[in-house]
Amino acid sequence: MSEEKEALEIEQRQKELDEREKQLEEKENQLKQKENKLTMAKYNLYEKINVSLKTMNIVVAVIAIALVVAVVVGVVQR
Amino acid sequence: MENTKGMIAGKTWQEFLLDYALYIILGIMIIGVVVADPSFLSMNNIWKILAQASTRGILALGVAGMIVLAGTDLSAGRILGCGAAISASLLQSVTYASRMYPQITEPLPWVVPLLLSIIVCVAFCLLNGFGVAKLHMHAFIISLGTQLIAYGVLCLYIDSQEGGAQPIASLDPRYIELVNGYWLGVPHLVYFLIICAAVMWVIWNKTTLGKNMFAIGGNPEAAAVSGVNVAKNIMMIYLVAGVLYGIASFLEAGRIQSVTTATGTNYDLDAISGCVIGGVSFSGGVGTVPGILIGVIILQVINYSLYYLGVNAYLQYVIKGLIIILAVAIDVRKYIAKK
Repeated sequence: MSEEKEALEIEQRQKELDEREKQLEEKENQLKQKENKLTMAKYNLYEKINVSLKTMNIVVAVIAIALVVAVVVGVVQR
Repeated sequence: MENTKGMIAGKTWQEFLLDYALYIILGIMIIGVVVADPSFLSMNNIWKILAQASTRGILALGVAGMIVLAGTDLSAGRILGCGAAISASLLQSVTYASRMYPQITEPLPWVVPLLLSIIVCVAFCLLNGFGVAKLHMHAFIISLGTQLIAYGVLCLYIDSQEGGAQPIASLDPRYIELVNGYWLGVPHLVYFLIICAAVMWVIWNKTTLGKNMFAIGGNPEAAAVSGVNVAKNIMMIYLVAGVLYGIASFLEAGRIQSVTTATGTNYDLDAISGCVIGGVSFSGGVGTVPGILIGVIILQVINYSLYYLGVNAYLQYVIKGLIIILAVAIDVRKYIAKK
């Protein structure tokens, strides 16, 4: 009798422990998600830009040349 | 051993040219103007440029807060127009027969229109701030809407005059002197700019609000987790911007001495351009008060130079647009290089 009682108790305890483990797993997932949010690169306007540094160098150079040309044209055609 | 041959300030010459392309081009332009006409650098011209830059600089100090928060404000110019209309209408000369408020028979103390102008500008800015902080709307969208609302209000106000939508002019001479006068050879407007810049420098660098502003602009989630009340701080930044817009509009009305429905048009673009040229990053969390002032002054010098060189007025728009795009492209390039 007492053995059966013990077995039931152990079973109950096992269930409680399993439930506790599930809750802890859930909490761990939530914390991991929060950590990801904080540690990953900030989502901002510039994050959407997916170009290499070399490409950006060319873009800057082209716009600078366009600016110089516009100024020269403006001065020459006044 | 690190090879430093051919390096300028720790960068290769190509990197240096690309990082400072804008300043190099603008510097060459200014040198060209000075060579073509040395009178460009006369004290009279310099004070004129600084006086023009003053009201735009105060406006830019307000807009910069929003850019640091990774937003923007397209309504700054129209809000300035509203404030300017209120200031001018309450400070018209009492001897002017067609003034907007004929019941004002004694000149009002200038503090009254200034406060009213600030209140109106703060109201518009808090509307923007509410949209951004509480409704999580993008600053671009909410300020676009507010821009139209402010323009409508401005037009309605000016149109409410007895003679219809006529310019609000013939201002009180004391008001004009307060804004356009000189003290120790320096325009009053420059002093107003210096005072506003000093106050903003203290707010940005020495107060919790300033630190929170940079934290929110840098990473809003991290700021929130660190205990910063993000919504409240955003509203405070917008409130401060509203006060600056109110001051700028009061001064601008006195400077131009005639307020119309077109007053304030494109001022926001000038303010944003000045901020971008001065190093305030659209990615958020980056900016300095001296940088903003330098950016605004450079932009005014460019405007003046283009006018001095006789460049076609329409082509000036193209050039100013290219300057803004180049400034942002360089900012993006620096961000990618840092990554």
